[in-house]
Amino acid sequence: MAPDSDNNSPDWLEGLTPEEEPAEFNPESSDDPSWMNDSKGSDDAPDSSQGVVPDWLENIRQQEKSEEPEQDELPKSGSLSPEDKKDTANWLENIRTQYASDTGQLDASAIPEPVDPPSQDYMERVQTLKDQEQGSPPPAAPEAPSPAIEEQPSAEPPAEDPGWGDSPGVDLTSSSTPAGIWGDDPTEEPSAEDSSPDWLGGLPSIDSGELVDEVIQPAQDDQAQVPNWLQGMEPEDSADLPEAPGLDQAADQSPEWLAGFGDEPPPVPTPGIADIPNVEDPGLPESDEPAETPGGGLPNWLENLKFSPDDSRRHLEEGEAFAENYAQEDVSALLFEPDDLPDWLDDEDPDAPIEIKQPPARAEIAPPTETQVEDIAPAELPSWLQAMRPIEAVTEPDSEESEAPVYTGEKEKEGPLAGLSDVLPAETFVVSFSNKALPVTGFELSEAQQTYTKILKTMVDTETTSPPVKRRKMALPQKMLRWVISLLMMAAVFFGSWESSDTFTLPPAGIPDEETAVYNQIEAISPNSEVLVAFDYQPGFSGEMESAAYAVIDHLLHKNTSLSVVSTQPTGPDMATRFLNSKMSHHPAVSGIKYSNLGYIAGGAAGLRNFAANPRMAITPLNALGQNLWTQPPLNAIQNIQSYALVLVITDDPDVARSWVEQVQPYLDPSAAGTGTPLLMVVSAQAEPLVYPFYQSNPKQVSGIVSGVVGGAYYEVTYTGVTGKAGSANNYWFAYNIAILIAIALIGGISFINLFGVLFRSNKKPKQRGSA
Amino acid sequence: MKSKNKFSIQTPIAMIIAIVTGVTMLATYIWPMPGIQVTLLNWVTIMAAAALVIGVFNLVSVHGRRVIEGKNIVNSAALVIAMVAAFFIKFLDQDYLPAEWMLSYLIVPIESALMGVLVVSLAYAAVRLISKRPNLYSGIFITTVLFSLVANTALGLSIPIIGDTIKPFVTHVLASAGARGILIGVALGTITTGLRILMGADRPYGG
Repeated sequence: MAPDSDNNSPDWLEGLTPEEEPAEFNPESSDDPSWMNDSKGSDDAPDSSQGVVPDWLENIRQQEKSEEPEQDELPKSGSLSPEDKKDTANWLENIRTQYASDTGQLDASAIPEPVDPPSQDYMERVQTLKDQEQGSPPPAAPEAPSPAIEEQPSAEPPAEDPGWGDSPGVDLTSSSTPAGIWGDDPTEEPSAEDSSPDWLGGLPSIDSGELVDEVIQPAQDDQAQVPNWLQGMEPEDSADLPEAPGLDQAADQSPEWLAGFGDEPPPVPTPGIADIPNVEDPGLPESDEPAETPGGGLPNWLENLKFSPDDSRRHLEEGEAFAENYAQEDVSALLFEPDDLPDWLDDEDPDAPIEIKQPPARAEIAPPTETQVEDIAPAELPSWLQAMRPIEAVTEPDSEESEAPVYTGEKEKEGPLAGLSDVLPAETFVVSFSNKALPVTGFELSEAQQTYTKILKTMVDTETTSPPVKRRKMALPQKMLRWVISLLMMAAVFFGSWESSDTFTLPPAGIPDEETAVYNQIEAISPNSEVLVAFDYQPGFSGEMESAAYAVIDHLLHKNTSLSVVSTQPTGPDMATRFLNSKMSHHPAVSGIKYSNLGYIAGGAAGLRNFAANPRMAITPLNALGQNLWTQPPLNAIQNIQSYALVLVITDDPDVARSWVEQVQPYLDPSAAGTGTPLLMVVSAQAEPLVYPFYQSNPKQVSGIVSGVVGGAYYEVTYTGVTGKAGSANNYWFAYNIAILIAIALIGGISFINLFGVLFRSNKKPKQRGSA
Repeated sequence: MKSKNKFSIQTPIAMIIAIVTGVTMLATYIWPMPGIQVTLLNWVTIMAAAALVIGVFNLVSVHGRRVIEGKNIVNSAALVIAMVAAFFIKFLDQDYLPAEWMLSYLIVPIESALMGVLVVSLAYAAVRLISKRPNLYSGIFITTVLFSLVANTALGLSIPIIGDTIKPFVTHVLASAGARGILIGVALGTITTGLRILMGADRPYGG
């Protein structure tokens, strides 16, 4: 909206200026529409204005006139007959009284009385106030202001202003309380004017009533007075519009868009408006108890607004039923786009008004009659709609379940939903990997089958719970026997370790061949050769294995070889270090750091294979300085496993020994001619039978074996003949023989006693049977 | 009983990887391909070492959780404390003295004591065998045990027939015969297991 270039004000604001005549209010102007004539309070209103009143309102008034012979005076209404005025004043008086009684803060006398017949219309009063502000006498103010304005400044709004008097368009008592219509006290106007800025001084003071007046006034003027921007909006064929029935000349002079209101039927109070029972406005009568006329009745048009408590309750029930049904509906159908709608829906007129029918309450749903059932054929439902039906619609609902919701789900135990049931049971589906058990219909279990089921269930349940270990009770003789065996064995070991004796000597000519082969292989290697030694035994077998390997390792170090230590056991490298530092510390090779601990080989048999294929890639050993041992002497000469002059495996596990034979030995002797690097083994006595076949093979996969303490003692005997020193096997030899002899005596002696006892009891029983 | 729902998309992928790897590894033995074989073996070694580390952490976490929850707190706390202490001792040790002390005075004596208890238990079981099961097999078993024990002593070795005839026959013929049978059975079992894995009939990797 472009402002005017002359006064910088839009055209529609020109009507607000006092100089222009169209802004002046003319109560007698016939340009006002008929509905505005009803709100006029001027007594000067010609009676001819009765013709403006629609027929329906005229009938109401006449009816009220007949029912209400005695009426109080009403505010001036040019469109009402005296009888109607009385009627209206009567029920309005009742409303005012009701308001006074409801608020309790304002007695009836404080409420402004209806203006007497000489009182002016509120629009005239507004015009008067405007003229007073402009310094010009009101053009049509024949009488003084009403007492409600001047003599009752105390008619202030109550302490709690309900606010209903601020809305002229809604309040029914607005006509009787002119001062309260606009919510402004005339006595306060000067102060408000003084506080206004200077630039507003040229403008007339505009209160709400005046603003309404000024806004409405241009619409009531002739066509020439319509603003320019409204003229453009005027329909050209306004003359072609059908003439509204019941409209008089004033209606003809009114703007076309306003004249259209005359065609519409009188507003009928809708249930939606009437169904506001909870409006807590003290200024309005309670909906359950509408104001009645003293004559004992309401006007008919107001009677329509009356509703009983039953009506309100019924509407509430209907609303609840509608909400409930709406919640139960599958609203996903509403999500379909128009293109997704089926063909049968395309037959509907898209321009047809949408009728929203309130569904009846559930209690009011009557079962369909036979004819209705026949009319609704199930085949008429499209398939997509049948698929969308909820399960409850297909299955027959249970009466008990339909009445009250049953929460059968488990309570959430984790997360923010902990403590709530039947909510988002996602965790159950996530954790459960098995199909959900489905009920099997038509399958009945007999009592015997149920019994078997319980037995099976009990058996399965007992499998999941480990039974408590029962402490086996042992007889006193058995306990004593166990203690005797333990004490004798320990005494023999301690005595043999404490007392060294030459009672038990090895036969000089009884050295086994496999041990002689080991000695020969070690003697065959050249001095300063690189030897790979695998310490693959558990710490619990350290006593036996160290006794067996002592002479062999000492022999290797005596040959001034460089040892490379490796292990497939996590504790192997430490056991090797412990053995060398404790048993072989006298050798300069150990003290001079002439052995290399390559560490642990991970991966079991595969790791061994990898190490045999490429030792440098399989293990990257570092010394204390962080240097790669493969780059330092003596390992810098090792390129592959064949670079070692000899490989010695010390193990108590036959499987580990077999892994070395199967995975490493082929790399030691690729030609399989027995000419490659020899593989020697120092094994426990328990592993000897499983390793010995590899020694017996041809060519030998294992070039020599030293097994157990006995094998170590034999090797020491042979080695002592070279070095003149006895090893740990010979140190333990006496204790070893004592302990074994004690064990033989206990096992053999007690077993022999038990054998005789068994034979004695078996011979005694036939005699007892024979005597019996 | 396997459920149908346990079959997932991971199963065929793992099976394909296992079969392809197994066939490739087998082919490297038939047609030597050192590069591929060593590469695959390196992967196996790395994964085995990683599995060991994961196992250690899992052990610490399980027992640490038990300590927090108060379940068998004494044993679990001892295990966790010992593992952490051993780790730091081994990690910070440069002279090997604390680690050697821990190995020599804790690990070796404890495991050796368990072996000593085993000796007493076996001796007691052998003593009770005749009274519990007085039959021929028990007699043969006890006789063999006594003969093996005697043959491994200086007394038995000094006896002419036992030391130079019976004892080698028992250990090198009878025992070796049984051991060879065991080794052949292990070899056949290994071949069968390998074929089942290569054919996908056996899936020890899951699925």
